[in-house]
Parts: sequence; C-alpha cells; structure tokens
Amino acid sequence: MTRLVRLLAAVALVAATSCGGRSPSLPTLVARFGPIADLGTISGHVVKGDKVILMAGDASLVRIDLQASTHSTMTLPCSTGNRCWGLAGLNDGTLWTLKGMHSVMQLPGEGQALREVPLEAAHLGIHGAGSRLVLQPGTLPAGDPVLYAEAPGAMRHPWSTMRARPFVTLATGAAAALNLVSCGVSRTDELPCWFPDEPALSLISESGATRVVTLEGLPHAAPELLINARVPQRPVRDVFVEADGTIWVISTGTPIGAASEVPGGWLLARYGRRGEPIDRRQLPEPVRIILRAAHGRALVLTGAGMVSEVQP
Amino acid sequence: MVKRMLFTLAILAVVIGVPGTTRASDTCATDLANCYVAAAKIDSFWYRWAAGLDCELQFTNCARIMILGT
Repeated sequence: MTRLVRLLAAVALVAATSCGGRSPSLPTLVARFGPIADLGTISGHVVKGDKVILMAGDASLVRIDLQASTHSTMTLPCSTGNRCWGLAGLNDGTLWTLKGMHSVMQLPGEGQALREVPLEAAHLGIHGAGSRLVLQPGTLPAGDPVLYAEAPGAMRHPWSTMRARPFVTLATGAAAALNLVSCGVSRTDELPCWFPDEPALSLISESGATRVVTLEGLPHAAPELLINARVPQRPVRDVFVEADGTIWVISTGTPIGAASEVPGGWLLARYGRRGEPIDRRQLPEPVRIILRAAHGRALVLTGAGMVSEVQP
Repeated sequence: MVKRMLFTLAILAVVIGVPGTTRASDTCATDLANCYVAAAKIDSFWYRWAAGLDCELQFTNCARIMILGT
C-alpha cells in the first residue's frame, strides 16, 4: 500500500514537472534591503541602470539605488485632490508626471527646476517612449486611440494601435477606467503596455509600431468583476522586458494562505519575446514591481516594501 | 422638478446597478452617487449634462487607483 502511495506521488511529481512551465514552482525570495515603508499606491516607475524611481502615494518621488542599497524620498507639490500620477523617463534624462488631470510636471533633476505645462484636456495616464511623452486622455470613445505621443510641448499624435474598447453594459466612467493603459519597463526599444483586463501585451516602439503578444496561462478578467472587486484579479500587474526580449510578468495569481491586504501579485511568469511560455512561479509573498531581471533572476519590490531577489 | 428627479433616479440606477458582489471602489461609487445627486440639482440642462460627464471622469480617476496602481 505504501509502495502504491509512493508510486502515485512520483507519478504526480513527474506530471507536475513535465508540463513545460504550466505548473508554478515555489522559488526562494531573498531580502536584499528595506523596508521602504509607507509607499502607498505606486502609479509609475522608471529604471535607469541601478537607479529606480517610483511615483508613490499622492506626492512622493522615491529614488532607490540598487547598488548602494539605499533609498530616499522627495515630496512633490501635489495633493490628494491634485495628486501626482505616473512617471515618464525620457532619453534626455528628464522625468515627467501628471499633476492632477490638467497638467504635466517636469521633475527637478540636477540643476533643473520644477516645470509645469498645462494640458488642454483632462488626462489620466503618462508614459515615456524614447524622446516622446505618451499621454492618455480621460475621455475615451470606443474605437479612438487611447495613447498620444509628443515631444514635450509639441503637437500630439496617436501612438500605437491600441484603441478604446466598447463596454456597452457599463457606465461611461467604468468603461473609461477599463480602457486605461499601464506600461512596464523595457531594456529593448519596445515599451510593454496593456489593458487591465487582458492577458496580452502591446509591445510598442518609439515610432508607434505595435505587436501584440498573448500571455498564455494568465486569466482574462471579467470587466464587471475587475471594476467592482475589492481586490481586483488583474492578469498583468507589472512587466519587465530583458535586453534579449524575455518578458517577466507579475500577475495577481492566488494568495498562499488567507487572503492578504498586502499589495502585490503572487504569480511571476516568464515568456519569450514572441510570448512563448518559459516558466511560472508561485511566490511565497506578494510582489509589487520588478526592478531588474536577467538570466532567470529578478529583483523585486515586495508588498512589505523589501527589495528582494527571486531565485530559481 | 420631475425631470430632475428622473435624472437622479436614472443615474443612481446605473451606479447601483453595476453588477458585482463586493464593491471595490466603494469610495469611488459613493463619490459618483454623491456627484450625480449634486449634478441633478443644477437647473440648466447643459450645465447638468456637463456636470454629469465630470462625475464620470472623477469616477475614472478614482477607479484607476484600484485597477492600475501597484
């Protein structure tokens, strides 16, 4: 009888490990430094070598030095009713954020002062693509482009092939929220962007050329549930693309143990540059963003605020 | 008066009628309902309509924290 149980266990183990990355493994998460406390919601981040910059809460710009294992926080002139949202890093080294919905703000760098540029309409998203600021309008009629690019202060042009999708059963505000776009970090010349309900990425070059990659094995979120759930199950929470095109994805996944209030996703998945699955890892604790990734290892910011390394 | 009450009832029906058992954006939905009620008190049709659109934008702004923030 014991032999039979062992045999069945061995068969189950072989089956689990031979599924070509379909069965999540449990990796080790090793804390490097932290915690970086009281971050609040992270609305954008930029990675430049060993330096990571986060837009956190209503008005905090957090700079993390991965080499020196240090971090510092600067408070920006934003407020709860006029919060800073998103972060765009351009090739010229400038950093930009949305201040409220009606202006973009260039953040102070070395020898630079804060600069605010008004926008002609309400905007809800900002990203950086090479030398171009990418902005997302607050009003998104179905079929219209969702992203527009410009050099700061110049005329805007539709950017990428991403278009607003119709959600006929939802109110206008909810439909607009589901058409908001997130973008991750890339070491290639393509920026990974995605809609909140879709397990797919649009990889967009600075010129706007777009290729869509479907992320096999991640769930499609029902729009009604996404907009209403207390802890929305998001197929894609953050993305990091390595220099060789390998795509790292944080997905909400399934919490281990009781549902936690700690922010972050529990599943870390890797895909090849054309979306072919490489592996999936169930994390022992939730992680919020990927700070760096290469050769099967990733440095992440955990829900508890630690900078930790995910090891195979 | 009747038109304004109908407007309020219609928009509240939209807000309350969004399916889902656990409301994420409890705060967002409550703010939206309050915003609609305030908008419904505006006499001018066009100003009322514009205020309603602004309520939707404020809801989107609020909801993005839930579904985009990390």
